[in-house]
Amino acid sequence: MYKCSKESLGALLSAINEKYALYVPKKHGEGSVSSFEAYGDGENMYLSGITDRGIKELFFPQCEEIARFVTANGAFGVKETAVKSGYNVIFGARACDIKGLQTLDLVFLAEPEDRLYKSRREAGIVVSLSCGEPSETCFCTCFGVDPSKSGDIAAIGTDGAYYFEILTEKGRLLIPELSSVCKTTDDDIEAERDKIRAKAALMPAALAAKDLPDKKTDELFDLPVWDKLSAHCLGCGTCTYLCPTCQCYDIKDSKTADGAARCRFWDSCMYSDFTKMSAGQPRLTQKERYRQRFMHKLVYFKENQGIYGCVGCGRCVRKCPASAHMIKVIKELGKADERHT
Amino acid sequence: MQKQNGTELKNKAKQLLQNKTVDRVAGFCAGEFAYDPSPCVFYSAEEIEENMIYDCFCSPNFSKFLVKETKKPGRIAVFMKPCDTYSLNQLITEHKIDKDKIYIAGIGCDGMVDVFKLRNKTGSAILKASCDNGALTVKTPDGDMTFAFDEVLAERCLVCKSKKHVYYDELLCEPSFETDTGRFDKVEQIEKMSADARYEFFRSELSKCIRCNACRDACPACTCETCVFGESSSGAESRENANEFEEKLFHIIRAYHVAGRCTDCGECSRVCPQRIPLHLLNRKFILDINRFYGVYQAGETVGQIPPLTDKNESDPEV
Ligand code: SF4
Ligand code: SF4
Ligand code: SF4
Ligand code: SF4
Repeated sequence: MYKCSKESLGALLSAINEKYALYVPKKHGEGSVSSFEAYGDGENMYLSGITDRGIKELFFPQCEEIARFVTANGAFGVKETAVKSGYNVIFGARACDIKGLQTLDLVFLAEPEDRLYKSRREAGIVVSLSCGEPSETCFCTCFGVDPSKSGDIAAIGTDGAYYFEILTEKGRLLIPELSSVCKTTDDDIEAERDKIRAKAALMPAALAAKDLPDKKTDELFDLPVWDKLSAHCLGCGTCTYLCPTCQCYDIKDSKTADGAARCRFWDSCMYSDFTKMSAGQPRLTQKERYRQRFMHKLVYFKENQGIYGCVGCGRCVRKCPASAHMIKVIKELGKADERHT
Repeated sequence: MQKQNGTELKNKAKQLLQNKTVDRVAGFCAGEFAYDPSPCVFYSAEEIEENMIYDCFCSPNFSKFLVKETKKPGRIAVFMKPCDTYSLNQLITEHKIDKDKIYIAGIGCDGMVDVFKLRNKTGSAILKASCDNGALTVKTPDGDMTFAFDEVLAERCLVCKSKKHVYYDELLCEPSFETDTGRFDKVEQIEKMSADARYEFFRSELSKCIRCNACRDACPACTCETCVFGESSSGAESRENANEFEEKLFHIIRAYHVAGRCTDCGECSRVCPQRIPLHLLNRKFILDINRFYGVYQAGETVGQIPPLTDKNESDPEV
């Protein structure tokens, strides 16, 4: 394990930034939202809380070109977007967001592998930062996330210092930078970790969601409570677009000067034309769409992949303009458990 | 912060059901946290007694929701703060809402809290919050904090255009007035910028947009059954801003489409997860309309003809 003073974090990040493309959480002033950006001059870093936008977009961007079609001299050609090589570093990721990557892996790295996602995943060295200041909307602990330890390297901030523990082979790549600024240590920080875990587990959202529905599709699908829960859903894409595990996308071709570009971009099951076919959208009303999003996270994903499709980041809880969020769903489905037994 | 408290609204709601003035009442149910009440429809006095609340976090504007709600049989009562009634008038004018299906009880308003602002101030978890006597008290793991309303109010409330209800069946508060709180100040500042600086200001704000469409979906002036930006055959349905042009296209088309009908209710900026000051675009249109056609407030009365759809000899373009 490595230890450096709080003041030398800048020196460490600058050292990393010299060798790798480095992304850190930033917030530009009180009125702005926080998100991951290039380290740049290291100004405006935001390390105290979870960011408004997560790390998903560094692996699965909202919009990306996947191929180009070109016609030149009467010949037609397809050019797939080249994958980039080399590593980059993401510092300050939260454990929930990193767990989110695990859910994306189950989708994008399953056959047929998504080459663009895979290349970014292989390139990304993720340094987590422990959550000293969880939000009332945090409920990661309900999904077995450890807010004090995650990623390729786990950084933990204590009163005077940062500790870095290397957790994976990829994490070892940063040993030169770590050794240039930090000292090795065998301090025992387990007690600090326990404090962080305990604090997160006591957040109101974590307490409210501790009984996750453990029911099958059939038992939850037709519950009347979906009407009530979805009644004021606007059908916007806020919850989907901010969610670290939402992975649906659409593909669109558009004309370019010499052919066409094929882009894929995030889609949302909350939209009225999601998976629209010639016969229409299979989920006719907002109730069905709403139910899809939450059942997917809490039931289908678990049935199909073995883990929940929610990681408890609380973003949809904070940002839903109608407050029709995950905690309310979990609680209502929990009551359904009572009704059934 | 609100002029009527939850108990008064509960009693009124129960009374309206019991004396059969209405069949159901729209209001707010308590949320999971201090600041996330759900819009709810109540059918019985028991439900009202058990779940209904009203406080300084009940910000959503109920007017658009009445478009769907009034297609159902029966009459619905809604408590409305002043700004909501402007949107309502506009929707009635546009024949989107049938007056006979609604019963509006006007409630006084001292403004609603902006939770994002509040979160910036507390810097830690918001465990409880309550509004009282011009201040908001928040319980956090680091102890209690108290803020003056001005520090945590939503922008739209700091520059509230009017405390007057322009539509109601019954007023639960004292009648009040239009106010001048300088809501065009920021627009005028932007007008004074150089063209390049102004372009850069909007470019940088709009570049944050994630095209979640929440602004459109919450906007009471956006009531098209199918939006051009949600219809695949339009060729402009992209969820994502594929390029900088699309990014601006969405917002500029939207601002033009609601020009003259936007009441400046502030829902767009309230719901934007990216905190884009969308109201500035709309306010610029309002200010221009005021300058060119005389002061005009959309939603002030039912049946007004907006200057942009009206033609007069005195119009500047004639
Ligand atoms: S649940 Fe909330 S954020 Fe999600 S689509 Fe509905 S209104 Fe939008
Ligand atoms: S469903 Fe909501 S709380 Fe769960 S991971 Fe997605 S945004 Fe976070
Ligand atoms: S804009 Fe005015 S009426 Fe509307 S919520 Fe704010 S203070 Fe109340
Ligand atoms: S609500 Fe904000 S982020 Fe969403 S589409 Fe509108 S401007 Fe863009």
